[in-house]
Amino acid sequence: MTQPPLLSLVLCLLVLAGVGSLAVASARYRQRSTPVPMAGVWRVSGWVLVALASVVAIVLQGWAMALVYLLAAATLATTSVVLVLSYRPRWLVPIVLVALPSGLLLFAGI
Amino acid sequence: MSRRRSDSRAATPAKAGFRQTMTWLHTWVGLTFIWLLFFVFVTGTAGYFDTEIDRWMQPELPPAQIGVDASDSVPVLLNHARLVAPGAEQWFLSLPVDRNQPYASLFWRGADPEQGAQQTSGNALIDLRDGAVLQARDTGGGQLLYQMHWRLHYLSRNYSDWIITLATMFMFVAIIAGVIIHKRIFRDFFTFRPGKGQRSWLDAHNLLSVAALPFHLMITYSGLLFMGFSFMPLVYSAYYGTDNGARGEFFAEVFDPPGLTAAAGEAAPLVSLALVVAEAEQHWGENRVRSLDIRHPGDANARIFVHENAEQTVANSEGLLVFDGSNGSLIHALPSATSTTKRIRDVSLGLHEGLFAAPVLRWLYFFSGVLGTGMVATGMVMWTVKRREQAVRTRVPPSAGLLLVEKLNVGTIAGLFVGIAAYFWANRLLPVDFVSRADWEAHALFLTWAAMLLHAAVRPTRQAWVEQFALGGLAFAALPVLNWLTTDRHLGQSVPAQDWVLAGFDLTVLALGLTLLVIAGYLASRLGYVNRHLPHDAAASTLGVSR
Repeated sequence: MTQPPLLSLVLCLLVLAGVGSLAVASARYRQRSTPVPMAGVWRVSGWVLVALASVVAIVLQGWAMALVYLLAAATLATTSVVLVLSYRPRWLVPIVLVALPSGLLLFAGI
Repeated sequence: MSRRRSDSRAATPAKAGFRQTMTWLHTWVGLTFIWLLFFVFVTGTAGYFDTEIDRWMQPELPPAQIGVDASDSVPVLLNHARLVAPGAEQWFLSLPVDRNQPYASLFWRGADPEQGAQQTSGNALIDLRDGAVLQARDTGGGQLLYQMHWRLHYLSRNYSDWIITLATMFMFVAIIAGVIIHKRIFRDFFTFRPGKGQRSWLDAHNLLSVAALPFHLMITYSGLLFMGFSFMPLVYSAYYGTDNGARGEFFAEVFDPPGLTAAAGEAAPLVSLALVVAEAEQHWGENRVRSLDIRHPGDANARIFVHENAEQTVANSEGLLVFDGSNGSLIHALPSATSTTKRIRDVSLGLHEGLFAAPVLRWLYFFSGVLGTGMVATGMVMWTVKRREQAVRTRVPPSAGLLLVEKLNVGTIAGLFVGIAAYFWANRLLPVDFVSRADWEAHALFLTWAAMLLHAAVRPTRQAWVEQFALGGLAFAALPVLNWLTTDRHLGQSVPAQDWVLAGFDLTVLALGLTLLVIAGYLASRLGYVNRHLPHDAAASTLGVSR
C-alpha cells in the first residue's frame, strides 16, 4: 500500500516510455517521422514496459490502487505522446530514451 | 425545413445500418444535455481541489493543521464542546487527518440554552494551537463550487436529482455509442491532425475521449450509482413499501450506525475519550481516527461512534467502532465492507470522489477531468462545425437551430469561465460584513454567466469567442494580482513560506488565465487572417464558427 510521490513518478515515467515505444512502432509514426529500424522490437518493448509498470504498481500498491494509478498514468502518457507526435514527432524517440532510464533509476532509488 | 436539410447526413434511424443509428444516437443524445454536462465537468473538475479552493477563499485561516496527534486534538475539541454546547444531543468532533479535513472542527446540535448554550446548533473550526475558534469571511468556497456540479445550485433536489440523472444517463449512452462508432479506435490511437477543419475537431474529440476513456466511463457510471436511490426507487420499495416513510426506513437500516438509542434522562459522566481513541488506534493503527460522533454526551445512554480515516483505500467507506459513552465498553466493531453490493457502491463512489488520492494522483484526476471538459467542448463545437461547413457548401442559410447552438456554445464554453472567475473576484471584492455574502458570490457566478450568454447572443459569433476568452483569461490571470492587493496571503508571502496550497491556487489560475488568453489570441489572429484573405462564407467554415 505504499504510495510515496516518487513511486507515482516512476509509474508515470515507465508508462510514458511504454506508450511512447508503442507510438514509435505505429503506422502513424512512419507518416510523421523517419521510420525506426526494428519497429517490432519497439512494439514488444512497449508492451513489456507497460507490463513492468503494472507489476511494480500491483506488487507495491495492491490491485485496487494500482489500477487507478496505472490508468491515470496511461491517460497522461497517451495525451502527451499524441501531442508530441503531432507537433514535435522527432522528439518522441529521445523522450522514450530519457523516460525509461530515469524511471528505472528512480525505481532503484526507492 | 432548412434544419432538416442541414441534418440530412445524419440518416434517420429507421432505414440506416447499426453504426449510422449509433452515430445518430451519439449526436442527438450528446447534444441534449451538452451545456449542462459542460458545467458539470468544469465544476466537478474544480471539485478535486475543493479544500484547496476553500483555503484560498478564506485567506484569514492559518495553514492546514494536519498531522496533530489525536491525543492532543481531541481534548481541545472536547473543551470547546463543553463550553459552547452543554446539554447537546450530538457533538461531532472532526480531527484534521488529511487534505480532505485540514482543520479540527466541532459540529453540535440540540444544545441547551438553559445551561448556557448561545446557539442550539452550530459548526466551528477550532485552532489547535490555542483552542480558539478560527474566524474567516463567509463564503461558499470550493465546497459550494463542487456541490454545484450535481446540486445545480438554485434547484431543489426534487428537480436537480432527476435532471442530473437524465444528463448522466444520456452521457453514458453517448459514450458507449461513441465507442461503437469510432471505427478506427486502435488504428487512429495516436492520431491528431491539426489545421484540417472538421477532421481536426473529430481527431481532438477522439483523442480527449479515448485517452481518458476509463475515467469517463468510471465517472459517468459511478455518477449514476450516486443517484440510484432516486431513479430506481422500486428496488427498495419492493421490500420497504411505497408509502412516504419507506425511503427513510430503508436509509436508516442501511446507513444508520448500529447501537443508536434515545437518551435515558439520567446524568452520567462521559468516559475518557483518550481511552476510546487508544482502543480505536489499537484496531486501526496510529492516528487513523477521523472523527468522534458523540450522541447524548453526559447521559447514561451516551454513545460514541468512532470513524476510521479511509485514505488508504479506494472505497469511500471506513471502519466504525461504537462505544458506550458512560462506561467505555466497545459495543459494535464494523469493518469497512459489510456486503458485496455495498462494497461495489462504496468503491464506485470512492473512485468518483477520489478522496483517497495523494497529490500526484489528485493532479492526474484533475487532468482527466480537464480532458472530459475538453471532450464535451469539442463535441459541442463539432456539431456546429459540421453543419456550418455544410451550410456554406450548399449555400443554404444557417438554420435557427445551428445559430442557437453556436451562441450557446460561446456563452457556455468561454462564458462559464468568466462566470467562475467572477465567483473568485466576488470573494475578494465583496465587503467582509456584506449580508448573505456567500450567496452573492454564487449569484455573481450565475449573473456573469447569464451576461456572457446575452453577450454571445448580440455579438457576431466569431468576435464573441475572442472577446469572452480574452475576458476570461484576463479575469483569471489577474486573480493573483487581486489577491496581492486585497490580502497578505499573496504569492510574495505564500512562496517564501512554502504554503503550496495558496501558492498552488494562484499559480493554477494564472496558468488557466494565460491558456485562455492564448486561445483568444489564436482565434483573433485567425479572425484577422480570414478577414484579409477569404470571402466571408468560406471564412466562417474555416474558423468553424459563424459570424
